[in-house]
Amino acid sequence: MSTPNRPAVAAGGTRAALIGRGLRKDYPGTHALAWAPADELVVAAGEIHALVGENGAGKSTLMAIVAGLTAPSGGTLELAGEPYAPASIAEASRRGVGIVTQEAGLVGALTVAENFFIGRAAEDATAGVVRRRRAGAIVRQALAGFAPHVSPRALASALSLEDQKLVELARAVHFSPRLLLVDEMSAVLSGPRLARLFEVLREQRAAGVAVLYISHYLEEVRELCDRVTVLKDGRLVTTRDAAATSERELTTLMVGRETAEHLYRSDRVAHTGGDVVLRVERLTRPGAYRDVSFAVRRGEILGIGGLVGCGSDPLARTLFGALKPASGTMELGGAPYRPRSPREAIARRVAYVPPDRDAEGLLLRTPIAANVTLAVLPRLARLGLYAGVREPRLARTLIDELAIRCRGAADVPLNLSGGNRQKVVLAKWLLSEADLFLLHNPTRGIDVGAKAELYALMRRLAAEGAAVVLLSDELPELIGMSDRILLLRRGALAYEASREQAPSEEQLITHMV
Amino acid sequence: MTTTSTIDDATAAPELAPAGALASALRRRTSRAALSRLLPLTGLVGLVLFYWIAAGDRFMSFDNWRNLVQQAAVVAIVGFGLTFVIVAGSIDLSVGSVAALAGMVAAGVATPHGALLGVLAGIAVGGACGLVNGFVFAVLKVPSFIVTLGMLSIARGLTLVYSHTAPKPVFGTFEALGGEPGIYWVLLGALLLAFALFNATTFGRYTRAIGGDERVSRLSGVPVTRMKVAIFCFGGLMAGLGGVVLSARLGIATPQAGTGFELTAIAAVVLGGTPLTGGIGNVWNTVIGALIIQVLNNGLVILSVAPEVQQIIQGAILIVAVLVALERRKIGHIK
Repeated sequence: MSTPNRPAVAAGGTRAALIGRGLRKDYPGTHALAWAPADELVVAAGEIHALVGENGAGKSTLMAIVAGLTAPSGGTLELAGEPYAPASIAEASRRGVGIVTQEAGLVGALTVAENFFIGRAAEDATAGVVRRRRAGAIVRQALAGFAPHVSPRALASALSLEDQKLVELARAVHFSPRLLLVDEMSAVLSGPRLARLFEVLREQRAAGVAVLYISHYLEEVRELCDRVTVLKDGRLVTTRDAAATSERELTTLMVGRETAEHLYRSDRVAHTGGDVVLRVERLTRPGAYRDVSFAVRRGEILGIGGLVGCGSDPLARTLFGALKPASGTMELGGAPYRPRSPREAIARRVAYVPPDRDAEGLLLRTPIAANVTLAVLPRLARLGLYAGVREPRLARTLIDELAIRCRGAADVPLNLSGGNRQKVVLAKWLLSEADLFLLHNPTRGIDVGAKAELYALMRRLAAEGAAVVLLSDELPELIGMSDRILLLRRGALAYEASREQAPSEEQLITHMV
Repeated sequence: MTTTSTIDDATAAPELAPAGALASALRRRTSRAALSRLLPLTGLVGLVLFYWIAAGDRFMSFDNWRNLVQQAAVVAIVGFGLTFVIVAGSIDLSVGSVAALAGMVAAGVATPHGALLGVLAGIAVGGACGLVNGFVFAVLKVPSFIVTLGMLSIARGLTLVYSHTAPKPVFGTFEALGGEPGIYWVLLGALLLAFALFNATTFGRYTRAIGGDERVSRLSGVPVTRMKVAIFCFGGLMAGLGGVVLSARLGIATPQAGTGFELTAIAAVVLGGTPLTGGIGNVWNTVIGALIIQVLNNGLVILSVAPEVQQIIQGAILIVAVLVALERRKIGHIK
């Protein structure tokens, strides 16, 4: 549901630097952005405009489109009054759009100075020949107000993440953009650096630059920004004056929705009475998570949530043997559990559905039949011999059971839609007859119909006595499916709630940020 | 919803597309795949027909074909091992030198200790080289290109050292391996072994999985490191067998044996339809590829094409064959 977007009068300037209308970004079976044709985002020159929303609301997709990283499936963009459809970041940069991304934006193998002028020949070279000293001087001057301790000759990979982001900011500002995109920078900066960031942004605003700022931290948004636009589920909700809107109102705008409760579970009872399947004590891995302790029982669905970088991803991989903890213990079925590889975890009846099914969950060009038996080959083979006689039948049974839409067991996942690919991944783990299922964002990028089927499958697994750990970015999913919810923040456990307590999304968010 | 992979974006069959469009898209895709599978065999048949027409009885005689198949046999045997390495996504440039070393050691051991021990020693030496290749690649994580390039020189050097740069003759039962019907039995045996290993064991399955995607394989319980070592070891064993058969066929093991052989073996695997990118392929392809190379060379010689021109043609055929069969969209970046 979206209300018609009527932007309030911009503070400072009235000239629009960026106008985005009716933007859409589609992927097979789902969408990342789906604005109504009349929905409009107006970022004025000389304002700091915040973009807020949950994971999956479309913020980064919008940034990617404006920065030239990807093209929209529909809608239009206008930059300083001219139509704007950049084919690449380089073109966006030439048109005056600077960006500091959420992920690494520097090429690790190049020096700071070389990174500065990537995609822009002019300043550091004469007729294609690089002038190192001149480049160095320019870069040193550009870095002066941001990270004066960083040398232009330093390798980008040798810098801390904080310094890398500062270099990216210095670079973006150096080329005098008319629109500056800043994606989640405050997550990596602290103390005086953060204050300096705010200073820089205010300076840019005073100079007439339009700043589009993404952040999860609502008090920061209200302190720094003039206006704030809320995105939710790929839709544009509204644009408000930042000072005039309370954090509570913003949160409600971000998450308030008609919960599709029928998708998840109909019971309100927490199934937490079974035997302990997995017990984790004080698990620590520097830089990822610390002092994490919890237990999962038979028949229980344990939800684990948190912001990007909260540590849930490395934690899940540690439970599956793909990463090693620095300290702490794990017990599976009462016996010590220290898997040295996923192979050992699988032998101990643990299953893991990774968040990126195409890159980690499936062999895209290998037949479905071979995909689903891969994890259990040691059990199906005899003395290393495996002619795959039973394989087509096994695959067909699973295809029927999970209603996978494909051309048969010999079809390859490359030909399937996202939802069906995910079902193939799940089929693989169903075959492993695991006692503990680690499902990481299992319904990401999947249409509603397939989602409903996957939730039903999860309920069935729990009902049959398996323990399910559901790591998810989607709050409604966590709330709807879990018997218990754990939240991680910056690597540590921050909150726990049971199903009976019926936590709301607002409550969860306050503990996540 | 922002991290759906671009593969999904570009290639997933749209469920909501009208049935007609979907059906024709599927048909296009299947025929493309079928085409690239049949291409090598078609190419071989085409070559044979061409030479038959151009050179008549000189080409299509029993004697010529006997010679041809025997020459192809050594390439094929080595190629069987190489097939596993390539399907797993790696490369082995040392097979020629390893074959030479194996042949030399076999000859050296056979003279005092008998043919059987000699043959076993040769194969074992090949396996040992493969083991070293595999260990340095999988455990020490040196890229396979570099490891095997180094092994190419090392094995060649060891051959020269072991033989004191002099050739070693072979006799008796050993020599029988290189003649008729010995060589046919060895070829058949190697083919059956490689075929069974590739299609009917977890070893073969895991090889294809690793070539398909290593990360996915590891997260699905494939013992990737162990497999890589084993695959290279097998490659070495087959190179060893090939080297033994080669010296048996020539009646003599020379330090220069198999020079440049690795390129021929790689070409055989590739021309047979196994892509260098890994993940797909089969042992049978390598037989066809080996035959294509031998038929090509054989025919050029019969037609009295100058050796220099032969080289140009061979190189051009290799490039064109891969070009036609390449499915560019599937390859992330081509190095």
